[in-house]
Amino acid sequence: MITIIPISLQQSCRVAVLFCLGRWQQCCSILISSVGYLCMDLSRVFFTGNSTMNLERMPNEEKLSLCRRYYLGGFAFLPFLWLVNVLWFFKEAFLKPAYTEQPQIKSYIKKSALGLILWVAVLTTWITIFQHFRARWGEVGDYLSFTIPLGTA
Amino acid sequence: MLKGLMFLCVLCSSVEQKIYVVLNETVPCVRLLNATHQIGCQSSISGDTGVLHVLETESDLDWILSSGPHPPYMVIMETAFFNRSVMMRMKNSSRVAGVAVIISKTGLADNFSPHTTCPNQNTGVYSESYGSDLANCNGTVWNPLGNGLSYEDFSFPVFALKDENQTQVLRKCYEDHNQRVNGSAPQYPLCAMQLFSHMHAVTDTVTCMRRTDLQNRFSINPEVLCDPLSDFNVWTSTRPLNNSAKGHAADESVVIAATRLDGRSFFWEQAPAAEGTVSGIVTLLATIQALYPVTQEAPPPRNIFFSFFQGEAFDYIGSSKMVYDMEKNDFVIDMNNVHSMLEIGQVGLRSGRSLWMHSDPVSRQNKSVDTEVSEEEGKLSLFSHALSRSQPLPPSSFQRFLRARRIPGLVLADHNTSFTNRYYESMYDDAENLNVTYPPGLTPDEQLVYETDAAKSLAEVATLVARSLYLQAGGEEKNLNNITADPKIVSHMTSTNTHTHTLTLTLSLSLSLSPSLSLSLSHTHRHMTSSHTPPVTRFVQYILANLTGTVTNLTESQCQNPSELSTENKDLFSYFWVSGPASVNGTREPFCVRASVRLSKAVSPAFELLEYGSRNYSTWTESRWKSIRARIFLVASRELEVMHILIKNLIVSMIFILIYNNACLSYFTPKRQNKLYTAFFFFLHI
Repeated sequence: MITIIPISLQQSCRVAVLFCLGRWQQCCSILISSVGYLCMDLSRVFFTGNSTMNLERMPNEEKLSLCRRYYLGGFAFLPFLWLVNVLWFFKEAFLKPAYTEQPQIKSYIKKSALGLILWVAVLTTWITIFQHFRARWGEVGDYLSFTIPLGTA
Repeated sequence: MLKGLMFLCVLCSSVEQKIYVVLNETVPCVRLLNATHQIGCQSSISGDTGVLHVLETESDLDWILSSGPHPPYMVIMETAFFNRSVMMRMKNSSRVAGVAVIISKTGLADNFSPHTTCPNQNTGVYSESYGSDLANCNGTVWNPLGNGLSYEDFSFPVFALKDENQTQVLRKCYEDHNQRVNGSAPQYPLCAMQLFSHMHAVTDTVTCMRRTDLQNRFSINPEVLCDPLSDFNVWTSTRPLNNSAKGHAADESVVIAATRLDGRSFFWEQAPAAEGTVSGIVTLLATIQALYPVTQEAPPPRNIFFSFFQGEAFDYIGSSKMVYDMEKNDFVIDMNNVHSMLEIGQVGLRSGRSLWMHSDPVSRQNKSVDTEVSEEEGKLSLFSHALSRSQPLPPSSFQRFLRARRIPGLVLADHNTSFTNRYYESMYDDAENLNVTYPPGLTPDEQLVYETDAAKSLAEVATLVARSLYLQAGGEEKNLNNITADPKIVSHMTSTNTHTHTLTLTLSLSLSLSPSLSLSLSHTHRHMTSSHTPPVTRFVQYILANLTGTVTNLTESQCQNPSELSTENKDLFSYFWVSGPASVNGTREPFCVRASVRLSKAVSPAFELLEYGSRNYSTWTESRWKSIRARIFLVASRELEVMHILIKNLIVSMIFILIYNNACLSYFTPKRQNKLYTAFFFFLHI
């Protein structure tokens, strides 16, 4: 017997808030994974104009601007950009001989790494708590979930 | 190329058939939920696998639970071991993957009732505020032999093996591969069984209904997790009642004669319930057959209302719904119309002795109610004994009527203090428990018309009930001798043949009956496999139409739309288009029957009121599932399996490295980023 429960305004507001919170979690995770990938490929085309990434042949100013764009982009809840930033420019920042733009690139890399570690810590903590306590939270846990597993609490 | 693929496909299905032997006749135990608990059995989503072991002796039990070297085990349990102590030990052990119980009469204990000792103790009439010293079976324990297994929660699947041939297949597999030789453990490969019965619902009804509603509102692919137990009550009356006029019926004083329609057992849709329910149904049907002609010729002042309640095993679903409708003025009569009530409980195991009349001592403290009940007892006193004033009512639908109003009423039963039924609500409460026995050498057709002792006994009860109902309705004593139940009708209904029969009754209306009257509460969702026996609700409805209806000469379209004709009244009657009796050359002539038989919805009021955690009404729901099946196959040891996987991975990775080194390096310029990305994506997709 499937019926839409007529619920009071207060309860429906509560449901809406919890529902949106739950959906925002899902949106974030989808965004993080898909946009991360997308950016990795698109940025190559967009910034350098050709489809193969070749940092060695790029002039230093372009390297700095790329690094800055990735650093700023990561603030839009996209920690994958910071990860990519760190991976691409680590050698440039710390293992190459010094050049003019290197200190700035270094600072961007350090900040990206910091932000990345923070994101990883927050996500890991939340995911662990959620997976462990979802069943115990009863109603709240159900409203926060996107898919509820069948047959287990 | 296509032919090659087709050939491969043919090969691959026959390989599967060579590995697995699928067991076709599966009887699972399913999960049921109420407001606070879940009961029944659950398997994991990809089935539970275990090495087969037959449980025949105590040493087998030790082998399974502690000493066997190949856990987890799939236990094939002999009938004698299916009791509470063994099942609880299995439940607490982590070495049991599942249980398959052999259902047979050999080795069956003297009694077995998986129901609780005090059926429906929380939804009856006795509570803290009404007869508190009688509540929770403080007065009388009705089912002392009950072990409560049906109300336990098992985390492994439990199946029943009813087919003897299938059990033989399992035993043979066990004897060929799994049997211990000279006390040493058997060697791999071993015979294993996999049981699938994954249930979708968890925790309790509140959680399950909440999740179902969430799914329906917000998910793209909604899944229903559980369904409330629902079916129909069947009712009829000696004077037709206007079905469209709800609420109080003017100038109607009604005597209700009631019984229950359902039964249950530990397993799904297996409930013969011969003594528990069928005895009551058959008695009431025979009562109606005896009473109806006389009430048409010499009608008594009061109306007699016959009702068959569905779902009484699960906290009185049918009767609570009818009382709720009566109180809400949503039924043809209401509580003010009810004069008194007579309920037929378990009456099959009378064996020549008298019946017992149970009444409610708390309501009898009121003088007027007491005199009415004593009058009712007086009318029945020819064959039955009254009971002491301190004994409470047994579990019965009358308790729900008492909860609403203190009406005078009696419950007839063959037991005094506790049930005489030693197999209450179990799979073994069948015709043999009712002592339906035939002399040897009768053909199935002869068995159908043979009057067994059980049939004669029930017919006597039916005659008694019919006569007292007539008197209770204010009829005159001079008509009493015309009221007699026909034992032939009773023996038709209790026939135990296993083939489908065409039953020709005296009114030349034919029904095809599958006579193993398996009773169960049928459900309204489509994906569950339909049971092979016709639902008992339909059976009772059509038999009632046969016994109380008149044949009309309407055509089929007129029968389906009788309101178009001025002589027919859809409010007072229902119209059934039935196939006629089989004539000599096998053809049938259908016709239209008009009867005042109706169905009324039997679903717990808790689901209408959306109070899923209700304490007053039944909140039972049944979980949904995707597939229930079983299969057996041979398994190899764990070490062999792990070795196979490692070798496979090694070969695949070696091939990849070879191809990469030979092909990729010559076609692409080596760039560090390319290698990184390629490796990254490759491992991601694995």
